[in-house]
Formats: sequence, C-alpha cells, structure tokens
Amino acid sequence: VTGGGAGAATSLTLIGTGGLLIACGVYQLMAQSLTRLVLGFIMTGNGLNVLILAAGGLGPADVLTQAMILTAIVITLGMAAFLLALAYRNWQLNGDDLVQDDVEDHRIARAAHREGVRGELRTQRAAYRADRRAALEASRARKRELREALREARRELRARARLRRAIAARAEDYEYLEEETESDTDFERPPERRGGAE
Amino acid sequence: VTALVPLPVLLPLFAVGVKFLLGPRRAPVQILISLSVLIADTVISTVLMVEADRHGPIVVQVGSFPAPLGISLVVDRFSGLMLGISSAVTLCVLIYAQSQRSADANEDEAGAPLAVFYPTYLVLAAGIADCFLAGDLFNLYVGFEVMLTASYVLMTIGGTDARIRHGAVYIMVGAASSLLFVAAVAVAYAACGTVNLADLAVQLGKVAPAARMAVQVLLITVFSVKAAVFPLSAWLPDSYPTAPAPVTAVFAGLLTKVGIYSLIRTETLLFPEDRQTALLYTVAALSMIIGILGAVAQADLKRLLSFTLVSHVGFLVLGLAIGSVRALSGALFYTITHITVQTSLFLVTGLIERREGTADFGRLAGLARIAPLLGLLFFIPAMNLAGIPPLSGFIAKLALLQAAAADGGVGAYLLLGALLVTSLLTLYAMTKVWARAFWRAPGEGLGKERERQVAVPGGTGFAVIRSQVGEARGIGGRRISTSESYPAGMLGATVALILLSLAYTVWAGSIAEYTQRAAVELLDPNAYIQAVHAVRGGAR
Repeated sequence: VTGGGAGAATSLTLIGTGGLLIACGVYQLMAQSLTRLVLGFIMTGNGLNVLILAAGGLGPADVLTQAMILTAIVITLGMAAFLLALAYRNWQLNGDDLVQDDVEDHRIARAAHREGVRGELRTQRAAYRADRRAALEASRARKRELREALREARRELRARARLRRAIAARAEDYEYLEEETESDTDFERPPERRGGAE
Repeated sequence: VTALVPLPVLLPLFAVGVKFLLGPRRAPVQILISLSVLIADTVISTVLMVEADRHGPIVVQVGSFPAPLGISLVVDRFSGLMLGISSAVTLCVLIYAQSQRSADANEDEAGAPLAVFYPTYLVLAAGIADCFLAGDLFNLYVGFEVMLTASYVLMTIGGTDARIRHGAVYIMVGAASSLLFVAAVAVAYAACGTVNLADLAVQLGKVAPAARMAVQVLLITVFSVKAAVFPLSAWLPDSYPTAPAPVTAVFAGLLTKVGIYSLIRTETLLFPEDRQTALLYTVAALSMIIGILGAVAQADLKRLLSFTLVSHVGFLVLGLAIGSVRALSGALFYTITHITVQTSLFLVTGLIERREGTADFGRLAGLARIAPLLGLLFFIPAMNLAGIPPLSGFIAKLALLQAAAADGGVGAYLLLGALLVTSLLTLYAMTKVWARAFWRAPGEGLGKERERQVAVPGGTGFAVIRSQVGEARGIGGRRISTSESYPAGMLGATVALILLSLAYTVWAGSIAEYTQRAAVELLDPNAYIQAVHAVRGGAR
C-alpha cells in the first residue's frame, strides 16, 4: 500500500512554503474587497494543497495525495471563477466589489449610534439645564443683593430725612428765637438793611 | 441492493448531462426528467433505508478499485434515514418551484436563470446525497463542495442587487469553511495516512492525542459553520431570506442538516472516546438561546424563521453533546421533524408572498380571515416547531428532555433549561407572527402597496414613500406576480410536507424505534468499521 502517513519523513521546505502561502492568503481573506478575497482564497487553497503534498511524505510518489490535490485544485479553480464573476456583477450593479456588513450588524451599529446620539443629547441637555439653573440662581442672588442695597439706601434716606426734619425743626426754633430777639432789637435799624444782616 | 447505493448521486448528475444536451428549449421534457429522477431517488433511498435497517450497513467500493484509491460509499441506518427524508423533501420542493415558476407571469420561459435553475437544483440533490453516502473524508469534502457550489448558484440566481450582496457573504463563508475542511483532510492524512472514515476510526485511536484533537477541532469548526451553530451562524439569517422561496426552503431544511449529519457521523465514528463534550454543551446552549432571541426581534417572516433555524440546530447539537442512545435517538427524530417542518414553513411563507407580495408581517394583516387556508397551513408547522403536543416536534423534544434528565449532570440540566426556554420563546415568536399577520383585522397592516402617500405634517402636500423592504422576488429575480388563488403544485407540495410531518406523529412509535436502532448503531462504531473492512479488505 502506498501512502506516507504517520511518522513518515517529510520536506520542511514544503511545509514552510505551504505555511507562508496560507499566512498570506488568510491575511488577504480579512479584506472587504471581493477581488482581494479571491486572491486570498486561491493562495490559501494552494497552500493547503502543498500541505497535502507534504502529508504524503517523501519517497515514492503518493498517488492518493496527488488525486486529492488535483480534485482540490479543480474545486478552487471553479470557485475562483465563480467569485470573480460575482465580483464583476457586484461592480456592475454597485460600482464597487465590497462585501457588505450583515443586516444585524447594521442594525446593531445603528442602534448604538442612536444610543450614542441620545446620550450626547442627554448630557447636553443636562449641561444646559445646569447652566440655566446657575444663571437663575445668580440673577436671584443679584436681585436679592440689589433689594438689600435698595432697602439699605431707603433706610439711610429715611434716617437722613428724619435728621433733616429734626434739624429743620430745630432751625425753626432758632429762627423763631432769633426773630423774637431780632424783633426786640430791630427797631433802630432802617428796614432795607435787615436782609443784608443775614 | 449494492448496485442501488451510488444511484442517488449518479442519477441526478446524469440527468443534468441530458438536460444540457437537450438545451433550454424543451421545457416539458426537462420537467419530466427532473421529476422522474427525483421520484426514482426517493424510491431508491427508501429501499436503501429499509435494507440498511434489515441487514446492517451496506458498503460499496466504487468501481471495485483496491483499498487506498477506491471510494467507499456506506449506507447505515442514520444515512439511510437522512437520504430518504432529503430526497422526499427535494422532490416536494421541486414540484413547488416548478409550479411557482409557471405561475409567475413575468418569468421568462427560455430565460437564462431558469435554464440554470433545474440542473443546479439536481446537482444540489446529488451533492446532498453524496454527503450522506460518503464513507471517506475526502469524498465527504467533495460532496460538500458539489452541494455548496450548487447552492452558491441558487443563492445568487437572477443576479439582483440584494442576492449578489447577501450571496457574497454566504459564498465567502462557505469558501472559507471549505478551506478549513481541506486543512482537516490534510491533517488527518498526515497523522493517519488514510482518509477512509473506517480506517481513520482505527488509526486515530493510535496516534498522539494532540493530533487527534487537531483533527477533531478542525472538523467541528467546519461542520459548525455548515450547520450554523451559534458563534459561526451569523451568515445564515443574513443570506437565506434573499433567495427565492423554494431555494430558501430547501436550504433551510437540508443544508444545515448535512452539517449536523457530518458532525454526528464524525464525532461518533472517529472520536467515540474523547468527544469535546464541554465545547458541544456550550455551543448547543448558546445556539438555542441566542438564535431564538434573534428570532424574537425580527419583523420579517423569512428572517424570523432563519433565526429559529439557528436556534433549533442547537437542539440537534444538544443530542450529540449528551451522547446517550436516548439523546441521539431524540436528535435523529428531531432532525427529520425539523427538516420537514422548517421546509414547509418556508414554503408557506412563499405562499403568503404569492398572496400578498411580501413576508414582512408589519405589512400583513388579517390573513386568517382573508385566506383561512394559509392560516391552517402556517399554524400546523408553526405549532410543530414550537413543540406543542401531539405534534412530532413535541415528541422529539420530549425525548431530548428525557435524555437530558437521565444524564443528570449539571451541564445536561443547564441544557434542559435552555431547551425549555427556547421552546417557550419559539412559541412566543410564532404567536407574534400569528397575532400580527393572521389575527389583526384586514387592513390594519401597512399594506402591500409599494408606494404609499403620506400627508406632510404641517403642510398641504403629500409625500410618496417608496419601500422595497421585504419585497418578494421569484426564481429569476423579478418581482413575483401576486394572485388570490394558489397554484396547485405549490399548494400540493406544501400540503404533502405538512402531511408528512403529521405522519411522524401517527407513526411516532415505529420511527422512534428506528431512530433508537440507528442511535445504537452510531454509538457502536465497530459494526460500521467491520462492514467497511469486510468489503474493502482489512485495515492497513
């Protein structure tokens, strides 16, 4: 029975080549463009074929691995052709060949976006409200201050008025006294010189 | 009998060749060929199922090639059962598709998509049959590829914008998992020097545990992608709903089940001793819960059904994870039930689309009054899916529940809880559809018009809202023509599948006995291995 299998020696070069091809291919498979995906698919497929070849081991050619590789190559080729046609059709319809995000992702992203916007609005509204409250508070304080000042001024004015009234009353008293005293002593002077004495 | 074994694969492929020779012109002959091939397929599969049950696994070495080159095809009770069900379902869906096509006035008789549809459909049937028959890991890969490539074509048929966009996701996921499958084959061959499943089963017991683990994890990943088990299921609800109704129906019913079949086959045959039980427990529970939560959130019937599909695949993985005879037997029973029920639900959705032009149940209303027949046709499989007694879904779920309770472990009880929650939520999802689409007064939905006039708030004018969401398209990618009457073939195929699911209830006893025997056979891989070795002459 032919075939490599368990424990058979194999070529390190083959394994290294296969691994490298697969690494490059998988990197390409991460892309969103269908054309790149096709390239990645072909590279990975060929890398895996090389690995199957390595699995057959060294020594006389292993018929089974070759049969398997041939089948895999044909399948990869067919798939690549189909994918290219798909990319072309996508380009025809949409002007790009990007693989779209799936619908649930879209919905989740939209919901997250909406939630984000809503949260932003909420914080903005809260900030606005805080501002309003602070402004109101400040204006109220200012009003209180002004009212206080007004009351103070009024009190002072009232006090001053009282004082003035007191002074005036006193002055009237003096005037009366003066008049009385003047009227006692006035009669000697001529009347036109009386104002000038004040 | 052995001569019959390759026929489920060969007949459809042969028919495809004949079809291409005939060209697209002679439609009646073409239809006759497709129908007769699939009827023959169904008969042969049933014979094989009965024979495999009576005399044990039937093994054929294709072309009588000697050991390493020849390909073994094996029919045991499990694959016989799957073959029988799958061919019956493909036959029904073909009749449905045929009827839908002729009912769609704007489908072009000689149009390219239709000349492609029937051959591709037959290739799909051949691929599915090959997966069930394969006794060899590489042949299983080829079967998968045949099936998947056909499904890629069917998924993007007509080349409309939505189908191309969603199809690209489906195809890339499929292609990536196929690459992993090749890697699994390479690792298995490097470790064991063989890809024949029976030989692998013997050899894998002898190699280092790490190698065994690598093969197992790779295979589980690959089959989980195909079966849409939870962390790898995102592609399914995204891509299935855009395909034409009959295509979605056959995909939903069969393609994921092929993944499940391969998962059960390889896990029981190749790794009987060290199954990744913890992993399977986890993904089964996650699939069930997350899938059904996704379904509850949907507003489109097709998307909702796709999500329930993901969740109910979890039931089948559950059976495998517990792994007792009773659990596997329940899982097999549930597999055939679910194939039939899920397919018929999608076919009914197709009928709803035929009637209303959409499957978006925000727009549908009052179907129970307008179309009581549709109500009945939807109600039976929907209740079956939710697991209402006495329907077969209930019987299968009961078997799984009993198996989980008998297992008695913490994990099994957690799965039991997840199963109950999922069933309840499935019922909720189905009730939601029922309440919206069927029980509202007619006219309460948004209606089926594509253009709606909406008064501009604060103004005097009207705005025209043009909506394309949930608009149903036919096989060729054009909008389907709606009508009040149901084409006989579409209705007949749907009714036939629903009757089949009711038959599971009536003959539940004998089916349960059969799945019991199949489960016993699965858990004792020696019978399989010896049957293969008896034909191809011993392990290396």
